[in-house]
Amino acid sequence: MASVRNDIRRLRFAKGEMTQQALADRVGVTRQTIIAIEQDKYAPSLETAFRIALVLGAKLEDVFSYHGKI
Amino acid sequence: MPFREKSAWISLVTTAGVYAYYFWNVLQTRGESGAGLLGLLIGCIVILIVLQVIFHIAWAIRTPRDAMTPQDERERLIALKSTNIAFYIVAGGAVIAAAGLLFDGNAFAMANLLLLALVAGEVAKYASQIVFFRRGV
Repeated sequence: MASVRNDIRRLRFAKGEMTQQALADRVGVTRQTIIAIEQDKYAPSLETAFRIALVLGAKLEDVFSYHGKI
Repeated sequence: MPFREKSAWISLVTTAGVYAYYFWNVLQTRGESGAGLLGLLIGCIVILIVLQVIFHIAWAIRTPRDAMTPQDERERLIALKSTNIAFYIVAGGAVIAAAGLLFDGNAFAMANLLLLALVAGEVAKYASQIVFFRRGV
């Protein structure tokens, strides 16, 4: 189980059913990277995480959550 | 299939296929000097380049938007990790080839062992890229 999880999929639909491609274009990554992030197969850089949150109009902690041990 | 994963598949299959043919010919020499193999090696490199260019252009025509998109951070990370794996294989192969000289290995065998290490590194790089693309990085 990935230590960084996210709520992008739900937030995309709350944002007028934004497509993965539309989100990818605005964030500046490929659609495959958005898919990988949504499936918890890739933990994005801090900058990309902020950009995703900004595009989705949400706070960073509402989009991403950490479930690992310290 | 995304363009970059397809590109890794194209490179993996063509590299493995072309060099398998070359090394099969090397094995036929049974360790004797293969002066005629230099022409074969150059021919294999040319064929490899031509095949990769043709397949990449063909796939880029099918998915132009995907092919034109610059690498993003995840793809750069995958490229870095794959190159790292390839480095250890090439380094290991170079050490084995160098050690071969201590056991009376000839220059022909050593050169081909080095080439084999380079090819194994390339194959491992493309194979690991495919794994990272599919399973995550």
